[in-house]
Amino acid sequence: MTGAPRLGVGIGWRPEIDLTVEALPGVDFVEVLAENIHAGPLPESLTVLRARGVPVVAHAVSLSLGGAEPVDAARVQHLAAVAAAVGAPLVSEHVAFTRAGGLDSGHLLPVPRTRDALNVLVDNVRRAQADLPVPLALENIAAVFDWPDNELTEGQFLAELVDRTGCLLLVDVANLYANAVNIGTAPAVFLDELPLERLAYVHVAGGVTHDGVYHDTHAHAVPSEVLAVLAELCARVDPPGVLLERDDDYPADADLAAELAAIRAVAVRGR
Amino acid sequence: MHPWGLSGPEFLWLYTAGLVAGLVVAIGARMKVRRPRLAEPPGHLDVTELGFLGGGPVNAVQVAVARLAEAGLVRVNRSGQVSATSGALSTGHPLDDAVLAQVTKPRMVAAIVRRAPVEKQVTAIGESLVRRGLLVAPSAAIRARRLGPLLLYVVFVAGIVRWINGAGNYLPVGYLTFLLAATLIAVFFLGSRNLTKPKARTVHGDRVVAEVRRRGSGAGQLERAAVSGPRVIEDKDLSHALALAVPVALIPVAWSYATSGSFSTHVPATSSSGSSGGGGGHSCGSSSSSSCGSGGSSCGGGGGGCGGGSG
Repeated sequence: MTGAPRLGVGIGWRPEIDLTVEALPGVDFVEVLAENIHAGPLPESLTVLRARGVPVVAHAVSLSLGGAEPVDAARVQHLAAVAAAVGAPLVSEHVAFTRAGGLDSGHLLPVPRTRDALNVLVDNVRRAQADLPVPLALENIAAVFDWPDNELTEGQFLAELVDRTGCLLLVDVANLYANAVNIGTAPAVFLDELPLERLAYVHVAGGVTHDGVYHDTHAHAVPSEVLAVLAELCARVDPPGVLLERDDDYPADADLAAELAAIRAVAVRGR
Repeated sequence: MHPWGLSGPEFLWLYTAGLVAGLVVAIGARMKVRRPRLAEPPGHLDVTELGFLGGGPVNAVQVAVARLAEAGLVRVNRSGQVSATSGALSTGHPLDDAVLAQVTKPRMVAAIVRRAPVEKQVTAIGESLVRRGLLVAPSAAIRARRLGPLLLYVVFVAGIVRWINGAGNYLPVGYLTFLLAATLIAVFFLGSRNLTKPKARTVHGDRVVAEVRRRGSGAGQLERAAVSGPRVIEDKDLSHALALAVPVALIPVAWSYATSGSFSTHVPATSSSGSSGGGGGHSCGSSSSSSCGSGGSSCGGGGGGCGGGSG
């Protein structure tokens, strides 16, 4: 146990599959993309899930915590409002930047792992935490490239971030696998360096390999290699939650149920 | 000297005979168009064909979506959007395949029915039903409505000329005035598309639909949806998504032969005030001419019998 609330096995709630998410067996919690939700009247499906006692975690993608500019207070406030509206036990965001110099990349870009960049990131995380009503968990991204002259490994960088801000961790094992294939990160080393006692939950997603590059599409089945990374994590810690992310080309209900069951089996085996 | 060599009573008798003959021809044309001679029995109908027969083009699409959902090839969400599940392949049903190809991104049923490839398949189903003698061809329906009362027009014109002639010569025209008024009313009723447009189904089509309705719960869910509309589908979320396709009262208008003369699935923005074939509740399927006029409860897309108006 890591001290974070127990969530179980869950799936990303998306409007396209709202009824499916409600009907799937073995959904202990869901995660909503804060940017896609109005803090006002909630989508009916989320109200139904909340009435059943299903926890709803709010996940953000656009805070740009790793950006050089101070975090956008309006975006943090929106995340806080969504968290309050869905009664989220915690919220999460990425260790990444999406904006710089007034431009929006539309992608999660990796933060240079230097002391200076870490200081900026810590300041932004603290600012965000001050305005959030619930704990913030931070997630490792799938990097399309690595900055030269990194002073810290990704694991060391995240460990220090957690240490200085008290944030929780959201480990995305698919991103970890993508980094292993694409930029040579060793998942075992990464996991060894993390303070896994601060783990809040885990992201699992599908992807596809093209010409030796792994694409974390969230639109394909979860490959066995990603489940293997999950197993490696579960061998070290009993994660409070594991969540399947699927964002497009949704398979039939039975296939999603099978993926959730496979994830649960890996998580249970690790205990 | 009598005008045209006919005395007043003689003309009235002739006019009455012409009026009766005109009525027989006009009513006969309407009846005949719904009673084509069948070269062979209609044979087995696919549920989407039955859906067209039972509720019109939109209902055919609704049934196709329901069949795809039953097979797990599409899903609906709470907004009523339909989307294909990944890896959904060809179904072997052209309309289902056309629908499937349109929902790789979520779409409402109302939007799906307007997609050209879907319309094409729906039209093909309509044409097949016409060939098999189950539906009245749109062109034949309009011809029956427009040309059926032709003799009545001729009789009426003759009567008007006689009336002017008679009145001009200070002859009594009271009875003739009465007959002219009666003719005018008959022409109005028989020529008005709102009150007298021919039913889209032939009597053979009526029989097929009635047979499925008679089987009640003995028929499969899709068959029941085909003849009674999507409200009979047990999955309430699916039923709701399908019913969102078109406001129920518009469904008969959507495939009425009266205006478009085609199988178009386009739905007019507003219902014309006179199209009384709206939701006729359970009576929609009946061939009774009086049952379709009232609003009443929805036909849920299955109100095809009313689609062509009262027969």
